[in-house]
Amino acid sequence: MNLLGKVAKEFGEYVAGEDQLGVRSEDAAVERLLQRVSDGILPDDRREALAQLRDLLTGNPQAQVALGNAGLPVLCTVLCDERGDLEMVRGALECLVLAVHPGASSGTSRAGRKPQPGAINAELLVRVPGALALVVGLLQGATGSDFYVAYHTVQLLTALGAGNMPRLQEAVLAAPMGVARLMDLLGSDHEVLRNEALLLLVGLTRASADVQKIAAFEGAFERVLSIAREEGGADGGIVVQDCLELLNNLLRTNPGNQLMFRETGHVSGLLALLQVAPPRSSRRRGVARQAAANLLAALETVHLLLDPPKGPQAASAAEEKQREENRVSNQAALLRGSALDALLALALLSSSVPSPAVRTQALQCVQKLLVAMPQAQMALMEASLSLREGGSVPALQALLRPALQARNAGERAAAAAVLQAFCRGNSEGQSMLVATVLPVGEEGAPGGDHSTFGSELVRALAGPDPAAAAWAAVVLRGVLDGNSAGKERVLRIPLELPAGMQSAPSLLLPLCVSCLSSALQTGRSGYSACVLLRLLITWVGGCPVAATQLIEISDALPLLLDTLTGRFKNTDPVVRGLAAVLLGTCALPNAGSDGDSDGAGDRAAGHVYDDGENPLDRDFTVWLPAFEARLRSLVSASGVAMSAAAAKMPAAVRPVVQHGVVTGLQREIAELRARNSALEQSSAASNGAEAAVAQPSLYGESGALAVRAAEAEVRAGRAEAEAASLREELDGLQERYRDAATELDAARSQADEARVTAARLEADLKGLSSAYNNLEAHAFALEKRVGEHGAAPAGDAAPGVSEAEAARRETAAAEAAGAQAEEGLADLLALTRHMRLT
Amino acid sequence: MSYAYLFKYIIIGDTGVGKSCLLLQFTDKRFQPVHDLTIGVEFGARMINIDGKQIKLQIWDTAGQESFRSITRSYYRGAAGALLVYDITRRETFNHLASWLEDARQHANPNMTIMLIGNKSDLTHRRAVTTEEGEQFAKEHGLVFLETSAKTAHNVEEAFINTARKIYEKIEQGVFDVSNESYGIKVGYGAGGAGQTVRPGELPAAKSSSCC
Ligand SMILES: Nc1nc2c(ncn2[C@@H]2O[C@H](COP(=O)(O)OP(=O)(O)O)[C@@H](O)[C@H]2O)c(=O)[nH]1
Ligand SMILES: [Mg+2]
Repeated sequence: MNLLGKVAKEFGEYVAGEDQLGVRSEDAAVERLLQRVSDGILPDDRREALAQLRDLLTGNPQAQVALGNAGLPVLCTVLCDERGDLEMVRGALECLVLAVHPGASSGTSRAGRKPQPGAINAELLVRVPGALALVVGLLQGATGSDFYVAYHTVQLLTALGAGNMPRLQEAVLAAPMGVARLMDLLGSDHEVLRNEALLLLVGLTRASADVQKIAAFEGAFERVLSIAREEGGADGGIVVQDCLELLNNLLRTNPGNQLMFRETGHVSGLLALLQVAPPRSSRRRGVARQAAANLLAALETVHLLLDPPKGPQAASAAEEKQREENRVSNQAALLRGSALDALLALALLSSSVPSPAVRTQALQCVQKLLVAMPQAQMALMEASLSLREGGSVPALQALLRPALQARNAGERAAAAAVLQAFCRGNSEGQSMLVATVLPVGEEGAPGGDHSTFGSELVRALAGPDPAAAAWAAVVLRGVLDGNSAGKERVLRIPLELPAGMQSAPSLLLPLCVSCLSSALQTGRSGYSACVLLRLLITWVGGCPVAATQLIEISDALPLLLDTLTGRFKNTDPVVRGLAAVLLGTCALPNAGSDGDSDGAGDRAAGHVYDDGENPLDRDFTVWLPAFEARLRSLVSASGVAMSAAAAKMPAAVRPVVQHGVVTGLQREIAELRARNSALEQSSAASNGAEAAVAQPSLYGESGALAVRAAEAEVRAGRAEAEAASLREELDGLQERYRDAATELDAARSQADEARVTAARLEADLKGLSSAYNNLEAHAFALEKRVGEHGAAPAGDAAPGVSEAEAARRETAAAEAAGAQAEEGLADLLALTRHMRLT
Repeated sequence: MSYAYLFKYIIIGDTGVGKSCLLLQFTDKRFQPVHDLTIGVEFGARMINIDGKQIKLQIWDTAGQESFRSITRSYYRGAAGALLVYDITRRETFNHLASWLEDARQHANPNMTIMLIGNKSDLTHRRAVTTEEGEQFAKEHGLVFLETSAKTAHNVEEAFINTARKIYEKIEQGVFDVSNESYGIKVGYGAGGAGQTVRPGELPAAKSSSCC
C-alpha cells in the first residue's frame, strides 16, 4: 500500500536506471520551465513556459516523472492564484492533464508491472492539500463557463477518480455545486464535453448514495434518457451504453431514486430503449455488437428494478420489507408500461440483434416480472407474437421453443424458468396449458397451424433428443404442479403421435415412464432421470388416481425397485433417492400434499432461484424434509390406510418399499443438504461477482462453474463412499431381516405350543405394531395359562406330592412360560425397532 | 399523471425536528413515532391542485446533521421551495435558523420560496419557542410561517400547499423564467403529457430535454 515509497523508488529508477544523459536533460528542462512558470514576472513568459511544458509532457513518461512532486504544487498554485487569467488556467490544466495521463500502454511486460508515471502523479496530486477542491472549484464561475477549462477539468477529475474515487467523491460533495455543475455539463451543447462529463459521473455515482441522490435531484434521469434517445437508442453508439451505465448506478442500490424514477414516469423512457430497429442488411458486425451491449445495459436496468440487489450488510426486517415493497412497485410500474411486450419481443423476435446474451437476459427479466404478480401472468397468457412470415403464435408457445431447443444452456434454462414462473400459483394458466395437450394430428408440424403448446411439449417428450425431452419434463412439471384437476385430466388425454413415433405409448403417463426407463437403462446423464422422476413425484403427489395408474403400468414398479436397489449401473444416489420418494408418494400420495404451498413464502419474498441444470431446486429442498416427516409418521402409525396404489403392490414388496423409501429418504436428504449448500454457495459467489463486475449480466458465470465443478467432484466422491457403505448397510439389514423372520417363525411355533392362535398372529402381521400388540396379548394369555396350569395341578395333585413340591413346579412352569413370552416379545420389539429406524 | 407544473422542494433544518415525519405525513398520511434513520424515505412525490391546476410536488428530505451541510447545500440551487423546520420544544433548533437561512441565501436561487415551520405543535406542554417568536423571525426574514404537527397532521397539508401557492403566484407574476429548469420548476404538458406510457413499437414523441 505504500505507494509513495514505491513512487520514490520508481523515480530513483527512472533517474538512475534509464539513459542517464537523456533523463537528466528531461529533468533539467522540466525544472527550468517550472522555474519560469512560478517565478516569471511577465505573464506572457509564464504562459509561454506553460505551453512549452505542455509540449514537453506530451507522450513523454520521463517528463511526467520529472514533473512529479515538485511540479504539481507549482501548477496548482497557478490554478489558485491566476483564476482571472483564463489562458494561464487553461495552460496549467493542460499540463496537469498530461501529467496524470495514463500514457500509451506500451506492450512491454516491464511497463505493465510498474505503476505508470501518470497514475503516480495522480496519486501525488490528490495528496497536494486542497488540490481536489481547487480543481472541482474550477467548474464554477467564469472558469467553469469556459469550454476549455471545463473540458480539461473534467478530464483531470476523471483521471484522478480512476486512482482514488472515494477521495474525489468526497471533494465533489464538499463543493456546494459540484454535482450540480457536472449535471449542467451533461446538458452541454459541446458533445465532447457532455461525453466527458458523462464518463466522470459514471465513476462518481458508483457506490455513493449521496452523489446518486443529488444527481437524481438535478434531473439525471431525464438527461440520461434523453441523451440516449438522441444518440439513437439501442441502435446508438457507446454513448448510449455510458448513459445506461450511469442510469444503473443511480438506481442499483437506491430505493429513493427508484421511487423517483417511477414517480416521474421514466419507466416508459427506459422501455423505449429496448426497441431495436428492423435489421438492415448493411449492418456491420461492430454495430450489432454495440446494439447488444446497449440492450444488455438497458435490460440490466429492468433487471435491477425487478430484483433490487441487496446491500452489503444484512438487512433488517424493516429494510427487507421496504425492499420488497419497492420491488413490487417497480414490477407494477414496468407492467403498466408494457414491459412484457418489449421484453418478449427481445427474447423471442430479436433476429436483428442475434445475441443469446440479450435473449437470455430478456427472458430472465420476463421471469422476474411474473414473480407473485397474477396480472403479469394473465398478460403473458394473452400475449401473442406476430411472426415475420405472417400469422401469430401465443407467447407461451413461442417461449416453449427456446426452453426445449435453444442451443445456449442459459437461454434454455431462462425460458423454462419463465414458463415455471407463469405456472406458479396460477391454476387458471395451468389448466389452459393442459387443455393444449390435444390429440395431435400428423400434419401438426411444429410452427404449423395445428401445433399447440401441448403438442410441441409432447412431441419433445417422445422425441429423439434427450435434452429436449428433459426440458419438456421440467416444463410439464411446472404445468402440473399443485393442480390436481390438471393432473387427472392429462392422464386421460390420448396422444396421437406422428407416424414415426407410433411405437410410443399413447397416454402421457406411460410415455413418461418409458422415457424414464430409457434414461435409466442407458445410464446417460442422471439429469434426465432426475427431472423425469421429479415430474412423476409432482404428478402423483396429491393425485391418487395417478398413483394407481403409475403402479399399474407393468414396467413401472420393477423399474423403480431396480433403481432403488441399485440394480442399474452408476445410478446417482440422487436418482435412487428420488425413486424412493416416488415410491413413497405412490404409497401415500397425500403425504406431500402440504407441498402445494411449497416455497410460497420464499417466492413472496422475491427469491427466485433459477432451475438451471440443477434438478433439485430450492422449492424441492424446502418441500422434501416436510414430506419425509409426514411419511415417517404415516408409515409408523398403525392402521393407516395405504393408498389404492400400495394395495396393488405385491405383499412381499411392500415392506421392501417401506424400508427402501425410508433409507432412500435419509440418503436423499443428506445428498440434498450437500447440494443445497453448494447451490447457496455458488449463488452467493455469483452474487459477489455481480457486485464486483460492472456488467452483472455476466454474473461471473465461469468462476461459479469452476467452483461448482470442484464441489461436484468432492460430492461425487462422498456419494460413492456413501453408496458403498449404504449398500453394505442394506445387505446387513436384509440379513437381519431374514434372521428376524426366522426368529419370528420360532416365536410363532412357541406361540402355537402355548395354544394362542397362530392364525391370528399371522393375520395381524401386516402391521408390525399390531403384531406387537398381539404379542402383548399373547404374553398376557400365557400368564393366564400359567395361572391355570398352576391351579390345575393343585387340584389334581397326587397325594404324596407335597404342597411345597407343587408350589416349586408351579413357579418353575410360570418362569419358563414367562421367559418364553419375554423372548418372543423381545424379538418382535427388536424387529419393530429395525423397521422403524430404517 | 399529467401536471401543469412540477415543483421541487427540499426540507431543511436540524436533526430531529421532524423533517422525515413531515414528508411521510404529507405523502403517505401517516406518522411513524420512532423513525428509523437508516430507512428514511428520502424522496416523496404527490400531486396537489391549485386553482384547478394539477401541480406535482417532488420533495427531498435532507440529512440535518452539521457534518452533512455541504451535501445539503447541493440541493439548494435546484429547488423551487424549501421548508425550513425547527422544533418548538427545542430552543436550539430555533436558534440555528439564522445559519440555515444564511446557507440557503448563499446557495439557493434568490427566488426560492422558503416556508418557516415550527413543528411538533402537539407538544404544547413542552413548548420552548412561542408562536410569536416564530412569527417575528419569519417577518424579519420575509418568510411564510406555520406551526405544524407531523403527528396530528395539523397544518401539514397547508405547509406544502401554501408554499406551492406562493411559487405559483410568482410564476403568474413572471418572476421566473420557467424554461430554465435550474429553478426547480418544470412546465408540464397537461393531459397526455408526462407519465404517459409508451407502447413498444411506437417511440415516444421526440421532445426536448424536459420530457417529464
Ligand atoms: N410529538 C411529535 N413528535 C414528532 C413530530 N414530528 C416528529 N416527531 C418525532 O421527532 C423525532 C424526529 O423526527 P424525524 O422526522 O426523524 O426528524 P428529522 O431528523 O428532522 O428527519 C421522531 O421521534 C418523531 O417521532 C410531531 O409533530 N409531534
Ligand atoms: Mg430525517
